[in-house]
Amino acid sequence: MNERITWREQLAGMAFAAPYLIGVAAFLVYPLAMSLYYSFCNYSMLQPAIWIGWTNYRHLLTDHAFHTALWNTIIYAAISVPFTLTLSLLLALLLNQPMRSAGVYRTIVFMPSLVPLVASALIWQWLFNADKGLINAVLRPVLHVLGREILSPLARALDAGHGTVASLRHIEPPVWLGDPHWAMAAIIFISFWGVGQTVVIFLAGLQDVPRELHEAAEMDGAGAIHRFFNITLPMLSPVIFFNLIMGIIGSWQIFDVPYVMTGGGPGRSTLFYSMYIFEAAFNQLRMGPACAMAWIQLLIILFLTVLAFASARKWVYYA
Amino acid sequence: MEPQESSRFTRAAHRIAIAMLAIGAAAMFVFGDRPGTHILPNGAPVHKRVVVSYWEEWTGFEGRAMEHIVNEFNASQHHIYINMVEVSNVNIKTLISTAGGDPPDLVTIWSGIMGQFISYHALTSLNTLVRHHVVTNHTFVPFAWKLCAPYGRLYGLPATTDPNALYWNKILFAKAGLNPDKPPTTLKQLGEMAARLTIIKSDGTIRQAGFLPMEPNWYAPDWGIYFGNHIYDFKTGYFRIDTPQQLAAYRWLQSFSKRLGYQEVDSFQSGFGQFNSPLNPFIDGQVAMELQGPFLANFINRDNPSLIGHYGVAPFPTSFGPPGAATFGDCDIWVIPRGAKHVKAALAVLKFFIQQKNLEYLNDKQAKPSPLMKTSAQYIRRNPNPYIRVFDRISRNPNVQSLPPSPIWPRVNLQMTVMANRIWMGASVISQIRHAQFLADQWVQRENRLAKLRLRQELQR
Repeated sequence: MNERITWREQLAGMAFAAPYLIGVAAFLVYPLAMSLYYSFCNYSMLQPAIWIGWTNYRHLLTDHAFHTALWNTIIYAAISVPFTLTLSLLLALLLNQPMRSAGVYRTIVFMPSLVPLVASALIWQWLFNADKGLINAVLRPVLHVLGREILSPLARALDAGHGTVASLRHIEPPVWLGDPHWAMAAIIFISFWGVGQTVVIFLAGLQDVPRELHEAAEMDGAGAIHRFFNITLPMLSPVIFFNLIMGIIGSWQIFDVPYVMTGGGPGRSTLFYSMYIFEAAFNQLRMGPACAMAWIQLLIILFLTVLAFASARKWVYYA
Repeated sequence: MEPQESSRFTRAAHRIAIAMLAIGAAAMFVFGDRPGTHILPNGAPVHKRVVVSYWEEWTGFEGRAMEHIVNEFNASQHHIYINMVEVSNVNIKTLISTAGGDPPDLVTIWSGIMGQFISYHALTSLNTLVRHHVVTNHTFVPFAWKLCAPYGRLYGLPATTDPNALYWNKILFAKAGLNPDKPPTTLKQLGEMAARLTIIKSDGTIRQAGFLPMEPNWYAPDWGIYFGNHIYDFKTGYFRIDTPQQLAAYRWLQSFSKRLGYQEVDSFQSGFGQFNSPLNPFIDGQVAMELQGPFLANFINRDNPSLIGHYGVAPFPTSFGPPGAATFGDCDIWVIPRGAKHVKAALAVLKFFIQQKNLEYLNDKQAKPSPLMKTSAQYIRRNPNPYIRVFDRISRNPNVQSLPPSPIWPRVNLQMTVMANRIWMGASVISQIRHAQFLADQWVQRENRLAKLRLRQELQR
């Protein structure tokens, strides 16, 4: 068989690959290169860029809003990623149990991921509404009973001051999106809403765990918990690893939900990294610092991913 | 796959690809946009006309008003055709299209971006209209002119004006035992009346507020104006944030949240609906007094007509003079972006737009005062805003302040909004305004350094 590729076939191959290569060059490589260049420039988009060296990066060191955005994103990622992973795994384990109508439950868990982010942000905005929201409508009577029947008598019994006893009698639910402390909690809580995709990936992973391993361990007398930690988790570790990487990337790029729900407020308490990049680039026309921030973001994500890969040698098991 | 099969497959794939490209090209030829394909409202095609692309910032009834004027223009002559498109986020889209070298010929923009656009030479100068005496510095109300020609050179023309005033609900005034025809004339009176108009429920939550300086949040950076502050120094380009007037203004703002509790106010505010909805807190009677622009009248007419005749509008009190001694005013502005392809035609369109009858029609429909100094009696009579005379008087006041024409204003504005929010939540007023001043000074100095660097580089070139 003649295995040499004719020039016609080479040409055809290149012609078929060309749209992709042109697309990548025009819409990925070129913008990436230009954004790196602009990160060293003063550039408003309306005037030619001026080379200013490391100034944009140096100014970021003293930019309070940048620090706030960075810190908020770290907090968000540090809490939402592990919690989302744990919750997804627990849900996947539940949905993996043999039961009637399993498909219906799986669909219900997956459905929120199909709702556009802006639409779900608007729905959550109303759910978290302090005055008329559903969450506080449920919390309010619970907190009132808890305060009146348990906490206030307890405080009285412990001889707490009159003010403490009185305040415990009327515990009000939080002003979720208006209070800097609770606003971040609300945004993190919403991240759990979109666990459907992670759950589906976990489910697929769970169904790939060989049955015979479980049966062998069972015959050796291993209980369900032992089997989970010694068989399911190690076999699932590549999937956990994949979801971890995707979670890290996603959490560092959070934009839509806080942008719609809080606009970064109150008092910048929910200003996230990507939101600040957008603000700097398109409202303040500071494309230079925005590009510098984008590159720092890329490096942070790259660093975290490399860190995850380095640690993977110790805990990810490829069968 | 055998070689023969492979080459057959390649040939087939080639044919499919070529056929798809051919179909695409044919579709573009048949259905694609070509010069002269625009259709007039009467169904006739536009032949041999210069097509001026025009981006309008408003949709809804405001957009319809503009569309009417555009149709009038298109029917009035045979040389130019305006292709109007209603565009959301018009400032950002204008910015990107100008940066990309393909802007529309004419745009209505929000005034907040004027400083950046002028400083970065992104607008076509309209001084030719001044040279040909189409407009002078007395054609428009002073604050509108200042927004369009902040340093003498004209870069835009005002489409509509929005001077702010105090709205008060006469029904709630009467219920609180106040004279419904006497609005507050001093800030002290406003505070006292607000306290009487505020109703707190037995569980400590607010049922009705007399006045909330952070409702809506838009005017958070502007409170210093009512205490005599001028936020921007036109000569030096610096901002005046930590002045005694600002300090007094934000202490006054904080006094409301201290009195009512910011958490309680926040909880109360979270129940408010959108500004342009029946759940607007002034329209549905949850807030008795509010600082607002003339456009609120349109929403009252639409969403709660029973309030017509039961609310009043007056100049907002100030700490240093009579009500209306200073206020904030804003404009929608027509500009021709740099790189527009039909500048001459766009200028001809602008000449038509600023004709008295057209500006009056547009502002009538938006319940706003005309930006022109000269107005007709019928315009005042016809305007759906029952307090158009009050707004008209305010807008002619030379002490109306508008947005600073500084390229860093959006950044300072955001910082001042954050500052106001933090002060509202109980942060120290002095430290917050000093911090904002420090940042603004730093940004101005940086901008000045960059402007010098740019100039040096341009001279070298």
